[in-house]
Amino acid sequence: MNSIVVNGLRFHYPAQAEPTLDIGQLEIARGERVFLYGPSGSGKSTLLSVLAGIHRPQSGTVAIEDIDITALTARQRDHFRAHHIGYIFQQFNLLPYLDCIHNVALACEFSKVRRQRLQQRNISPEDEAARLLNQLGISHEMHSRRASELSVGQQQRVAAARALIGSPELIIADEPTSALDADSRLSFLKLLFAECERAGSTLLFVSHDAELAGQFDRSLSLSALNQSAEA
Amino acid sequence: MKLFKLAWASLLSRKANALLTVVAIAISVMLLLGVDRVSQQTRAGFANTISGTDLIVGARSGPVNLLLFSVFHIGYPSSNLSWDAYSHWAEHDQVAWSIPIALGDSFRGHPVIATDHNFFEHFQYGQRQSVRFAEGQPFEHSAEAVLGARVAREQGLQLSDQVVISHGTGSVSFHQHDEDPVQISGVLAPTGTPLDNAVFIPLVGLATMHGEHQAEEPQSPPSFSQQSVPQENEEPEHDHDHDHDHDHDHDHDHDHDHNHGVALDSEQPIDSLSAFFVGLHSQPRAIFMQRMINTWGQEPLTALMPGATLQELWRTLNMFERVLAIVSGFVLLTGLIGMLATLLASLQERRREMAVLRSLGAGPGTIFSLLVSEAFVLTVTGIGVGVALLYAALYALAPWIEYSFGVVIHISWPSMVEWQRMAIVLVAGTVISCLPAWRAYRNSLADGLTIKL
Repeated sequence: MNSIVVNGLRFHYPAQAEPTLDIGQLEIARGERVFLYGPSGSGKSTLLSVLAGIHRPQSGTVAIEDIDITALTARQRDHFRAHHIGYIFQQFNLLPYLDCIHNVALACEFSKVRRQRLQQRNISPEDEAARLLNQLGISHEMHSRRASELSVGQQQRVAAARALIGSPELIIADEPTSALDADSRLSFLKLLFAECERAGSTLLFVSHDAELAGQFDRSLSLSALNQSAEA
Repeated sequence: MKLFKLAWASLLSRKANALLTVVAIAISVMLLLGVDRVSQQTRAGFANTISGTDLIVGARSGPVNLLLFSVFHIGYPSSNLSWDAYSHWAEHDQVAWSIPIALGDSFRGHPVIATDHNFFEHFQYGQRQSVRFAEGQPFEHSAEAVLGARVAREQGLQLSDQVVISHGTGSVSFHQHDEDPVQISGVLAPTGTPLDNAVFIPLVGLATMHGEHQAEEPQSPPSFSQQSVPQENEEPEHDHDHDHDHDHDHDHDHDHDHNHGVALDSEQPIDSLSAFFVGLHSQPRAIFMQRMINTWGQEPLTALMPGATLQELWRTLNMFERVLAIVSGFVLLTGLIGMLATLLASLQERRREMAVLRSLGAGPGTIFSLLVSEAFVLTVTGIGVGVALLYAALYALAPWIEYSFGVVIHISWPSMVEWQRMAIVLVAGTVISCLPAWRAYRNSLADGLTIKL
């Protein structure tokens, strides 16, 4: 069972003739924790956008959880992302005007599937958000604080909780630790791994920081994968 | 719904900008509706000032001027017409009734209209409403006066109080008719027209004050000049702030109404008039009568039909009204452009917010509607605040407007036209917001999941 299967992917931005991405094959198994290493300019952001269904490749197939998202319309891909993919940015993940709980529960607002999964377990999005925040080391009294009042490390943990709520099958993390210092980097990773395991989610973790590679099941180099000239 | 909540929370986080935008829209909505409201009320007030009168006749002058001084008590007659001319036309076959008026005096800034009983019998305003007395009755003697509703209220005067009329108009006059105080015989019910602001005295009373009958002019009927003109100087009982001569005898004796003033049944109470109102037996004959009076050889007169001249006057004011409407339209445009600028400026700082929402599964369409709904909220709030400001201003300023311009502002629910204007503002605000929304849409397509720092 694979979580991600990419075949013959070629993608270029409308203004460019040369493809930004040219990936023959990429497979990531369900539940796997994969470290994707890539220096800047190697097409990381573009690949993540394609996997998340924002951009559609000109050729090739991208199957996430056995669904070929290249065959979906833009709207369907947006819904697919809401239901099945949790996404963590490098920084500025949170809406500064919402408190922690509502930032986390926001993911359920956009996804009926995530809400239903919680409903089956008889948990409200707010309760689940509180549980995840506690698990990730955001204490109870911070839950009602606005995101703008948190430290960067706390913000990233809230962002992880939001990606994880409702147990999406795939978590994509785009350099989530680059703004953290070495200690909080490792503790963040540990918490993220634990929660991914609990939710049964696959983790694709992108970073230019090769030191972290040892923590993962497998590490891939985007430069090796991507055969486009730029890389 | 969740989108709306989100837009609201996002808006609250940008309070200062949102507040300024709301204020800009509110002020423009207030002006847009207020200009319309005041001009509607003015128009209605105008049309209601006179009714049932077929012709107004004065000495030769412009019809608008004649209308202004005779009906609105604004400005002065440039010259007077003779009593002979009046009696000639008053006795014409076609004329059912006529009301002579003589202007020029004032009481503490309120215009004084010298007239006769016909005024109370025949003058109509609004929808053919006759003048009614709130208390008292028409004047019976030359030294009596009837007050408009507002004069009585503002000056705190009651029946039987005595007042001193000043020569000339304006609230400060150096020439008081001190020797001829008049007693209030009646107070009119409110009409919402310039009548409320006027003081009515008999023509004989005006003539007496101006000394016409003491001059013993040869053409005056003898019966009249022999009438006893008040010989003793009465000081009003109430101590008004006028320059009374305190050398007066303070030996008051008010029990002499019988000789304080002359009766009103004289043939020619006064030598000249400012104008007269005419009611005809047959209203359609008005145009012929108008021509006859205008071309009369014996004295140069101007006759006008109130309805037509009111319209002419309104057309003049209408230009002013249109200019105001155009100005308030531009104010609205400025308000909307302000909102546009604020929304566009906020887009840059909100690109992260958009990327986060995209990562959560929001489509570009959601981003688009998020911005439009924000503009919608801003515009609706702006309209609401604007309407509230308008009503607050109307409540606060209505007495002042009535006092200063004689326009009675009725405070009522928004009219159909006003609802339409509000709808136009709402649609315009929402449509205008499509521009930043479109840019956000394009941005979110191009940015995808990259966060622009």
